[in-house]
Amino acid sequence: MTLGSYLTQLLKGNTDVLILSLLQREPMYGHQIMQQLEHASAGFFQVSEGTLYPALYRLVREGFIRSRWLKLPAGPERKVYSLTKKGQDRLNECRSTWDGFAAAMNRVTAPAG
Amino acid sequence: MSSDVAGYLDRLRTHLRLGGSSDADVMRELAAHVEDRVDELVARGIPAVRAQRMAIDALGRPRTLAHLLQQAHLITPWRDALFGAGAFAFLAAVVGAQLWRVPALAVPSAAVVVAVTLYGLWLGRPAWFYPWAGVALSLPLVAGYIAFALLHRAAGGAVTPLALAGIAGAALYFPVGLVVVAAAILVAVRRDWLDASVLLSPLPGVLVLIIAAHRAGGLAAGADPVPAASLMAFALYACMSLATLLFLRAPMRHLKVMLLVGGALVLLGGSTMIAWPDGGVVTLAGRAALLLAFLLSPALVARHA
Repeated sequence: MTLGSYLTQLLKGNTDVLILSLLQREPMYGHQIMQQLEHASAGFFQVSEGTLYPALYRLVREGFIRSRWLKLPAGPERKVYSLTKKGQDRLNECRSTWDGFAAAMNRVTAPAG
Repeated sequence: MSSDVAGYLDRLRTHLRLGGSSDADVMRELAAHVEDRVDELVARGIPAVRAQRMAIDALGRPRTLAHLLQQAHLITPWRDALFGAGAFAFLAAVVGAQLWRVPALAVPSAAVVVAVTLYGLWLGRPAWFYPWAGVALSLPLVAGYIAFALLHRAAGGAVTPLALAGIAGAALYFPVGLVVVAAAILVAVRRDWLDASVLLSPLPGVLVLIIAAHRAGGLAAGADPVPAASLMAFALYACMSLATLLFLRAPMRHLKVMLLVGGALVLLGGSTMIAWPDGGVVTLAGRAALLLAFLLSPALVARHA
């Protein structure tokens, strides 16, 4: 496995959590989510539209987020996504699992000695 | 919007098959996304034409994107699909075991349905919510029948507080029931008319069972139970539970419509055997048309919404 595909797999497996985490901060529209993800990760996470929008529709379908068209202060209308109670619960579970996973990974991958 | 962007969105539109207002909604959202992306790239100093090209390239091939969007939009996860199908399995158990005849069991059963529906509403109406909401909507139908039965009983005897409650219920039943069903359909149609159809799907079966129960003596004391009808209704709702599971898991829209129509035909066959075993072909065809029109009516509402 190349480092690139390793990172792609990691990102693919965590796209939902990243989206839910951003929406916990505030409701956002698709392009804003992409920008915030890149900004918050200092350019590390760059999600393509082909990954983002299917993930958003799936999360809506599963009831983790909801969407509605809102007029932005700047003028245009955008489809804004926000977290539901179910999404908040899922995010809390994922965070807890991630903490355990990261701690275990760090213990195993830490240099010996 | 440049011709490149318009051309891309046109190609995407030809591959998108979400149905209802969903196609237009997705196209509107992606057009807005491209607009935002182009503005962002231009602000970084990239020429407009190149920025448009880059924004389109980032979306990938139209056919691939359409396929990904379709899958995400239509397929419900297994756990949610099973929970949604559980609404009809629950109904099958209630009618099959004739729990509805025993108030001590019927009331808690109704409370479970209402509680699950309210929970789904609170969660933001996930896909499993609609079958449960449909079963919950059938409760006013049952309540209405009970109200009419009490009214009927009151007409033949003394006026009691129970009979007065029946009269009040009967007076309120039609307007309130219609408003509740219409409001539920309008809300569901905003997301997808197929969800609204799922919402309506338990109602005809419950109506048929009420008719069968009424013919067998209804609420009259000492009335014989209706084991044959209950068994048939159990089989009917078990089939509908399976159809709902397949419906929620179906990856293509036309499959969902086929399952909906197939479920309606099973419902028609079952209801005919339960309530109208000696009906003619013309009556059966009329009933089929009425049933399909009822179940597919949300499509019409969605078209004019």
